[in-house]
Amino acid sequence: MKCSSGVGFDPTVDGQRLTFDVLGLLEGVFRMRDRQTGSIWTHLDGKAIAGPLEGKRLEIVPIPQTTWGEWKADHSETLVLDPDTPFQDRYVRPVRIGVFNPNEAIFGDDRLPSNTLVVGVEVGGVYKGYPISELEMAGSVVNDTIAGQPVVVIYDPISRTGVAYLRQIDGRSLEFYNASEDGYEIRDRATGSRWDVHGRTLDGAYGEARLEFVPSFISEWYGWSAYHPESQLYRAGHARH
Amino acid sequence: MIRGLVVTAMVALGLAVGCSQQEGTPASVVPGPASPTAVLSAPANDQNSTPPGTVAAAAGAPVAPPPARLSGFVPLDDPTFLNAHETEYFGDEELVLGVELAGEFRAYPVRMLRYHHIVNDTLGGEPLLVTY
Repeated sequence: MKCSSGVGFDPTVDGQRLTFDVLGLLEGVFRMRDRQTGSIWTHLDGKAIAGPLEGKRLEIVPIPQTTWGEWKADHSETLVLDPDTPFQDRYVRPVRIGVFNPNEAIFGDDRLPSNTLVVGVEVGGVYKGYPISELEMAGSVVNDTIAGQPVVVIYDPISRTGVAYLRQIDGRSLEFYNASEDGYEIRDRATGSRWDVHGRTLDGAYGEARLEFVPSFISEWYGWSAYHPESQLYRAGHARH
Repeated sequence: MIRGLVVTAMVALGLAVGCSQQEGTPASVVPGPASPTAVLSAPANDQNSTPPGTVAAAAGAPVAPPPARLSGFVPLDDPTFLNAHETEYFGDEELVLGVELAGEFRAYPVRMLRYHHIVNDTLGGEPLLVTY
């Protein structure tokens, strides 16, 4: 099993485009190596930990998980990876994430079961994990503050998208809520405008403004906590409102 | 040096666990070129790319650091794509990573990413590294 973490990066460092191979496992987590300098990089946060580029970091870009059906319905012009490769017989299905596999590693952070799916969020050097089950208890949306920054963490159970944004437009903080009793309909309290999971308003109340993505992606807890043992952990603790 | 030895030893022993554990058999037995360097190169159906360490070396061109033949994981380099309506290979409930960059939209199905782990791609002229 993988830790179910999809992370996108801008692979440009000091103007040079890097390409990567999977190096293997080091101290319990997956490392990459770039072909241009041979530097070794961590997976979940894109930090060079050895080699000529040690100390550099790749910028994380949004590439959120969703379902194929939802994605192509929203973006009919989308392209999709061609499965006709020499490796097609390896594209086994079905892929179910967050399911316990007795053959996989168990890492030490016992605050949650290893395979618990969380939305891992990083703001200002602070890491915080939001269990998807807790996000659902909170109504699919949590308004939080991390490292002094106002953050909204959302989980859409239909598209299975979990992502976080700075919840401010033009310096003004927003607060979000789910207007649907049993579905997903995120609105902001100030204007009642509806927002999609990509951080855009659907009715234009804020024009073309878009919430700023903060590094965030779905991960199984064991992977997230292995990379970030100091991670904070969100608990809903109370009913949705 | 010590770290490198540790990685090599762990991979050699098949101790790939956690975020990088590979399902199925190692890539070294997949059909295709048997040379170790070619294992990490682009898919054979992508004739326009330059597999690292193979074509460039044969042509006497400057050679990049040799590819890491350490893990057996095979990245996808400059992959080919289909329009959504051109394929019914993927089910609506399947998980994908969706990206919008420079006005283009692309979906990376998780079941492919779980095999390759890394896609070295370019969208609208912008480089993109997809990892899983």
